[in-house]
Order: sequence, then C-alpha cells, then structure tokens
Amino acid sequence: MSDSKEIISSLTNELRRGTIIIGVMSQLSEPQYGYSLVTIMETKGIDVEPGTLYPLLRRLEKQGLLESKWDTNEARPRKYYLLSPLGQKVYEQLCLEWKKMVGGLASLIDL
Amino acid sequence: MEVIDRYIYTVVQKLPQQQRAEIEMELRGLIEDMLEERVHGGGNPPEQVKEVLLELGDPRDLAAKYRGYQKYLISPELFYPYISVLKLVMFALFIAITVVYVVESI
Repeated sequence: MSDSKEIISSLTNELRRGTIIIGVMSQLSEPQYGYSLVTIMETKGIDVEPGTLYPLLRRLEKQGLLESKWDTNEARPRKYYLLSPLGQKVYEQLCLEWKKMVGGLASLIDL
Repeated sequence: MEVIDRYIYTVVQKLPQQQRAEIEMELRGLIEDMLEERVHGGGNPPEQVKEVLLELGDPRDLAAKYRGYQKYLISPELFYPYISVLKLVMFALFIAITVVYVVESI
C-alpha cells in the first residue's frame, strides 16, 4: 500500500526535476534573486527547495545562460540573476521543445 | 549565530577555494531570508534556526549540489573494471601463497 505511494512520490519528483529549469528560466527575464524566485514559483504552485535552486542558478550561470550581479545597496547584499542573450534564445527553444513534448504526451495519454 | 556559522562552514569547506567567499555570502543571505519569513521582526530564535537548517538539509549534500557531482572513492564508471582487476589480483595472490606454502613444506 505504502509502496505505491513511495513509487508515485519518487516518479513525480523525477517529473518535477525535469521541468524545474524551464520554470526557473521563465521567471528570469527580469532580475530576481534566489529567494524571491523560490517565493514566486511557490505561489505559482511549483515548489522548489532553496537548497536545490541556488546551486542550479550557479550552474546555469556557468553554462552562460544567466548573468548575475551582486546588489550591495540594500542592508543585505543579494545576488540577482537575469537571462543572458544566449539564455533567452535557449529558453525560447526549450519552450518549443516543451510544447512538442506536451503535445506528444497528450496524444499518448489520451489514447 | 554559532550554529549557522558551523553549518555554513561545513558546506563551504568542501568546495573549491575560489567559490567559498561568495557561496558563504549567498548562504547567509538565504538563511536570513528564510528566518525572516518565519519570524516577522528579526531575531534568531533557536527553534526557527533549527527548522531552517533542517529544511536546507545535510550540509554535505548541499555541498554536493553546489559542486555538481558526488564524490566517490571508486566511481560508477570504474566500478566493474575495479572488481575484475580485484578478482584477478586475489586469484594471483591465492596461487602465489599456495605455491609458497607447498615449497616451504617440502
């Protein structure tokens, strides 16, 4: 009984893991810092752990998809991320791929 | 707070030198943000601090996420070659020891 719950939960997590990057990139056409991103995605119904998000943002920056800037003006220095021009292109392409996938899956599932 | 310092140190210590200062700043900001969300009005009540750190998880796992890969002694790719070599060596050792034993007892 609890076996199926565990299986469902782990498979759902795998699904989620695949979509986090697109989800994150979708919010970065404007500068955001880590925690504000966590909050925004939570309100849209996508739960991301800060411990997962922060390293992810670093990796995306390393790949050249994001640009970052430290904002030292406020009381608390914060690192803001923004989609780079390359990131913008990649994001648009990813959205197309996603739509294709969703369409394909929809026809599979509905059958 | 000491607990926070120790937590951040554990994470950061396992990461490359150059990244340490920045990741430390990032984590301090994150923990502060998380605390502020739970305690409107600042202050670091030990209960919430514990909650926040538990939510962030094992510092070594967090370091692994920042690093981008796990550390192993023998990586998955090398594991089967390792086992094969190990078996070969054990077999050769066994033969050698047997031979020595036989020679000694003659």
